[in-house]
Amino acid sequence: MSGAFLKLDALRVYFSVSGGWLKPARKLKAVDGVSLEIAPGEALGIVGESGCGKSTLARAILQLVDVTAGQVVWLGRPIESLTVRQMRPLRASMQIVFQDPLASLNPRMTVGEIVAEPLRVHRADLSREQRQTEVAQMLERVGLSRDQINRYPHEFSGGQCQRIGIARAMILKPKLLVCDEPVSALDVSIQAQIINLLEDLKRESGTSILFVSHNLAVVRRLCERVLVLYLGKTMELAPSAALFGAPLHPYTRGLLASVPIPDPDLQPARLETSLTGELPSPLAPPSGCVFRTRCEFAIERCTVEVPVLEQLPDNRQIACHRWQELQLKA
Amino acid sequence: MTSARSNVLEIESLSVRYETPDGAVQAVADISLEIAAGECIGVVGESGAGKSQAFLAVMGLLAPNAQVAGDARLRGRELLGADPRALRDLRGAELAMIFQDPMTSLAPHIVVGDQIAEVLVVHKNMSWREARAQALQLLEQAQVTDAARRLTQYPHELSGGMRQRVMIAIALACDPVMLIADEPTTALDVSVQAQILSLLKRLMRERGMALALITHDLGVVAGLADQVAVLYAGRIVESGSVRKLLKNPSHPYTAALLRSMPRIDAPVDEPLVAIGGQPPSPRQPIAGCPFHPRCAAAPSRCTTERPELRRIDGAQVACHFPRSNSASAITL
Amino acid sequence: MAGSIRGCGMNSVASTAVATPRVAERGLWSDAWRRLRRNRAAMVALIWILLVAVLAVVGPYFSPHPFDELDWDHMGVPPQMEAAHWLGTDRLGRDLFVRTMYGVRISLQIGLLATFVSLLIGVVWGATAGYVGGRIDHWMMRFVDVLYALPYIFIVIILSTLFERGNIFVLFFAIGAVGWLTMARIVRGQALSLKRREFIEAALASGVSTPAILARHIVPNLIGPVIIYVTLTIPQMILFESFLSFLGLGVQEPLASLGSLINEGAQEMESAVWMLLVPATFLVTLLMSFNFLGDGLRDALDPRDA
Repeated sequence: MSGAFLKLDALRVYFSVSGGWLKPARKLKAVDGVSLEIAPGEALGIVGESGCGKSTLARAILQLVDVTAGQVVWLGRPIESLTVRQMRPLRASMQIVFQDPLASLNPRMTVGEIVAEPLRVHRADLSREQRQTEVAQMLERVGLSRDQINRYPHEFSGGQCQRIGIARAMILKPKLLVCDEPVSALDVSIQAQIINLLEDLKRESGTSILFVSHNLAVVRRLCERVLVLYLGKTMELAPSAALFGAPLHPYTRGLLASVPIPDPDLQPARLETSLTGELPSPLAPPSGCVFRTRCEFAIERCTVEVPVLEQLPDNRQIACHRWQELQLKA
Repeated sequence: MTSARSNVLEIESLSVRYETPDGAVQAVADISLEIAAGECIGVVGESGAGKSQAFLAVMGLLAPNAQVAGDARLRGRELLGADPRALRDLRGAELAMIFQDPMTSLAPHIVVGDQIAEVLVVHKNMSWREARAQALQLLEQAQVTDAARRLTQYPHELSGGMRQRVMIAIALACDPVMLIADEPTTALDVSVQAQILSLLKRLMRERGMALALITHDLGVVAGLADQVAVLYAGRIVESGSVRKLLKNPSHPYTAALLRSMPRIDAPVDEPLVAIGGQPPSPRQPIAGCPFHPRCAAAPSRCTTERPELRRIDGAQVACHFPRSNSASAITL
Repeated sequence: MAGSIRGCGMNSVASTAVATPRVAERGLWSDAWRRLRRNRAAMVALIWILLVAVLAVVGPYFSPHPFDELDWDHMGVPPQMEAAHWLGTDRLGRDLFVRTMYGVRISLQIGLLATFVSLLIGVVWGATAGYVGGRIDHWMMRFVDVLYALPYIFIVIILSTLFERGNIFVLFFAIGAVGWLTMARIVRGQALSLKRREFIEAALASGVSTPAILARHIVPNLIGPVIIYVTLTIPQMILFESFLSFLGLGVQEPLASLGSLINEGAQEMESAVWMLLVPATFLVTLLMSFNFLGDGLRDALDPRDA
């Protein structure tokens, strides 16, 4: 394919937050200049703490929130300024799976109607029966029985609801599947089922996946590359093996150290090496490097100078003044 | 052996049952636990496993239609069926609990400092002046940054992590001997989760306080628990030391949980072994071993006869065919 | 036509594949109905409402007396069987049973029709304001607030004096027109919260058009709360009509509504207590039944209990 599959160029999404009675509205920079490319069939993970802008970034790609500045290029065509009507046909090629499986399904519709809805919109050529056949096949594909087609969402467990959500998203065979924390709301024993399902779907359909999650262990399993966001800015972007094997950014390191491991010999010590402090308010981000207030390696330079995103040879990008020194130390 | 330990909390054959129009719901069935001073017990289970219900029963905080049976003794004093007034004095003073969502446990229209101080005024007969001064110290102990300013803030002005620290400060106000933490970090980011867990661990050490940590995450348990009890369908299916359970589990459910968790330290190409089926509903009791519909190897005996909890390799296991040591050594 | 032929071919394949038995299908409505049936008070209320409604329609045919016939031999008699005045007569010798049944008819009609009027205006107004949002929502709701602030009893009095007094349709309209305000607020609140639900976002992400979102996602999810509010509005409307009739502003003689009958009965309370008791009993039991039914529906349709 010539041209970009999915390309973000200095994407910015700002929200205005009213400051209250007679106070001026303030700008919340949810996504602040993110650039990246996704190749066909690639799975990219977006990680960061809640409030770092990862869900907003995903929704901006799908044009579910307004882009303030920058470009979203989808299949070679900039889409950020398209009207709702112009955007509609493109939606068939990009779909989303949500965090809360039950809330993302209309309680008044049967499973069959829910999964068939994208077909009604984009495949008007199909007859009712053809639609039903496709829906039944899709339900079986995601591990549900076709007998369940006439049931309502509340008759299913969380894991099953998430399968229905995945079936709805995959029925048009999209080129890009955005997953917004798809397993966080599920029981532990069910998470693995859904992760395995997504792994299978990705392998068989060749769909690109944008996987938004705060669970780094899940991202590590599913994604080839990972983007680490902090206050709407890219901290580090690297292939999974490199990022999890040798993280360069202090924030990435801190995040990795915070992930609990079910090993009583390792975990107690890990607890003490976790990130300190909390995410500052995105309404008043720190000057210079946004991460400096929680960075144990911050120096004078970090408070005054915004680090540029450096392109490293092995397909990595990093935004840190001191990454080279720190790498030597480690 | 047990007599040498000084148990802070002893739970014996605790059951919680609800009668509903749809039939009886057995939320907790015959749970026995002992928690010693300065010890942390991790209580692990999926939603509906009965882990919260069991400890809400101990706190006397269940809905009025709950039928509670069994015993729960705090330093030898019976809690179940105790006089509500006596129980209220005990709660907050000797026995404290923190929850997953601190926002619902904090009064939205009262500043944080006064909410902490109120506990001291009520339980310790302090004056409001003394209590407010003490509140500052408690916030500092809960490692709340900028504690003096926080005293005059409202809960909604704080982050989720800060609110949980405030809850911890309130819980600590009267030096409880036992703290129950119900999914205290589930709503928080991993970074803040680690901070809260290490805070709980330090407080436990410094004060010799016992801690019951209710969670669904075995990784959380690994960080600070000494003992672990795994609950399934309202019953304990396995309990023992944290090392035994996480390194060498005997019950197939514990083993399956460990194998189904994506781990940041495991090789990526290792397949994730999912547990099939759905977590059981307390509304639909399962004959025989409650785990048998999801168990990889469940002979017919498991479908008819419920295994009793018995002692195997220094742990308690409720399984007819517990995993032997050698087998588990291979998989881990 | 090639398409239709292929479609026909697919038809048989598809029907064998999909025509699976509806195994133990439990729809939301059948679920709600199951829960409602278990609510004894609501079921008794429902049966009573239906019974009274049927009685009001067919009852008068069984009585030999028309509603406006003056029985000179039996004026102000208590309930008796001989002259078939089962519930007695009023001061003018008119049969109280037949008059009460006519009153129930009118009260139920007014209750249902006025509720329907308020439902129509309220749902359209509220759903538009809630889903469109922004400035339009702001001004639409300010208008509702202004109407709320007016003493609505005066509006109805003015309306019913402007037009022919006792014109029953003016009465329907007048009552319905003030009753829609609360409905609009309830519907707007529901539409606002629905708009933020993830399944709406999912529909947007699938490219579903706005009218389709309103028709397939917003309105079906409004039905539950609206039905509940409707069953609670009907008794309000009946009561309001009775109140107007009691003041002499409602249904005019010789027609009767429960309110005007109670008004007449109240004047004879000391000498002929049945003249008050008969219509009052029907009014009170009907109002109570609608309230019980509304409560039952609220419990039955509550998705939290699903």
